[in-house]
Amino acid sequence: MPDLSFDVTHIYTSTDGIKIPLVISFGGKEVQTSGYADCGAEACIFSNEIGQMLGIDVEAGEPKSFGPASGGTFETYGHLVIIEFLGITLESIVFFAKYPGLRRNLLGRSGWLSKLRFGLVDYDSTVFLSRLT
Amino acid sequence: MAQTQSSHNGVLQQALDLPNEQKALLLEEILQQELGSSAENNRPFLEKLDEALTRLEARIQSRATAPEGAVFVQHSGSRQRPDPAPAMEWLRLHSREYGGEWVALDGGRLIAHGPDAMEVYAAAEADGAYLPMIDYIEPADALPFIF
Repeated sequence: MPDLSFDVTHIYTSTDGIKIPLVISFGGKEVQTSGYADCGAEACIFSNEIGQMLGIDVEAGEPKSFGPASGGTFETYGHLVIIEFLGITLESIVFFAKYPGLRRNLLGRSGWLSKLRFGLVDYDSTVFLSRLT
Repeated sequence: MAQTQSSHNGVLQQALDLPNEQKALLLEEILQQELGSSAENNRPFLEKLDEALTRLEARIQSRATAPEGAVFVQHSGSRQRPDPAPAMEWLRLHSREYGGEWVALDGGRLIAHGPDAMEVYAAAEADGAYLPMIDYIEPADALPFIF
């Protein structure tokens, strides 16, 4: 059996996903919001609205299109931000949606999951996290 | 609160045995209490330390534990981040009432809500609450989410 240990234990109360409260910062502005842990998302994708609240010129970022499960393309722009959650702070590229209306902020592999040791027991609504150094 | 010397020593040892990041939180608890009321200055330090320990234990149990070596991130103005737990609980309890809207929350207090994110954000800024939770609530009849 692998021996895993974690620094953070978080019990989530949301029933529609693994919702994690966070603070996202850019250029001295910061917004407290939430994101959903999404192991199936290749990167962190946040709503256009959160980008606007941070004062980000969204379309000035690195353009990147994603292919959602439903097909088509989802256009985003990447920006280097700071994400703080559950006592962990990460500097990450977050991709902000080109258009408003994304229902959820997604915490995906690149920029989030890849920087953590991540454990999940969904039956107990519990995530276990450690930051990889 | 009358306390014996041995119970004083026990409280002190309990504080000293804490991991470093929890010691920092404990000191912060004490300082917040000290700064909050001048009457506090007349109370014995260890009594306040004991109470702060109790509050810290409750705080730790009600939220995620901090990772080793992690500092509770300080705002540029040296203010501690607000505890997101009350806002998350509010969202859990009230989501059905505000489906399809953005909400701004100061802990468990609703500051503003509406379909326009920037209007809600502006209202939250005007309110002056420190780092309110800004979140979108999905409509109750929304299809299950998949990206």
